[in-house]
Amino acid sequence: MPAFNADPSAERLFSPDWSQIGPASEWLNHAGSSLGIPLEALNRLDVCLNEALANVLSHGGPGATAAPLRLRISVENFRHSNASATLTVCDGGLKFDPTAFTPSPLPKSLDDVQPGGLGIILIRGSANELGYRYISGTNQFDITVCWPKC
Amino acid sequence: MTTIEYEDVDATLRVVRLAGRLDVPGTELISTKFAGLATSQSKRVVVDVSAVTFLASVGIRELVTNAKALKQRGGKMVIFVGKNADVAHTLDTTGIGTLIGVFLDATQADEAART
Repeated sequence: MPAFNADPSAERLFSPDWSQIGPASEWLNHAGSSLGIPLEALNRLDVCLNEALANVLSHGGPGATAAPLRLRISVENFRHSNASATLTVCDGGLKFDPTAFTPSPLPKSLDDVQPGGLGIILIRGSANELGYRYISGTNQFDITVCWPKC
Repeated sequence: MTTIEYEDVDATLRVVRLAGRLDVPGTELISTKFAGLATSQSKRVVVDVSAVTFLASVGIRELVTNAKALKQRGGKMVIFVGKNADVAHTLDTTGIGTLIGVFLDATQADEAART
């Protein structure tokens, strides 16, 4: 039972490559399911994972592709009324705090649409809580989703 | 597995049906064919995403880019989500629904594309 697991977490390293986004999603869904995270919450984490990895690979610079991506999923608060899961994405790219980034406002017309900025909006719309640390040259991005305990 | 199919309802209306994951690899799979089907003619296009199981920003950009290109050619694109609550929520979160019509009902989507 996940509620009584002494260490309800899982961790995996991935090559910093676009081809690894699919396998990273598969790992998240498999590991998250094993930890008892409900499908709805896993879907929201999956959206955030895809956007976070795409941001790192698109904007992280040379450092992002020089070090492996470290993903960690952990489950907390199973003894309280709400449960939560936190996905931590660690990368060696340029220092970037997604919690401090302000996306451009949505244009009023289709003609004015420019690419970019949707990823952060999707992460904020899917997660219940975000956290960020920069430690020893590594971005550590925490994405937390919550769900009511049955 | 991401798939794309289409149906020409009549001379002016085309329905493009997307299914599966519109994440980075899935969107790459359908991108060229989708652009061809959606914008090759000045048609009215309904993009049926009711069977899309996952929609990432790269997939939304694909929809927006082609909707914009179609509009510039005199056509119009709308999105049919049906009962797909996850995709509807994603589109709502990004606000894209205010730029491209998003419909729960297929008949309403067809009518909106034609007007």
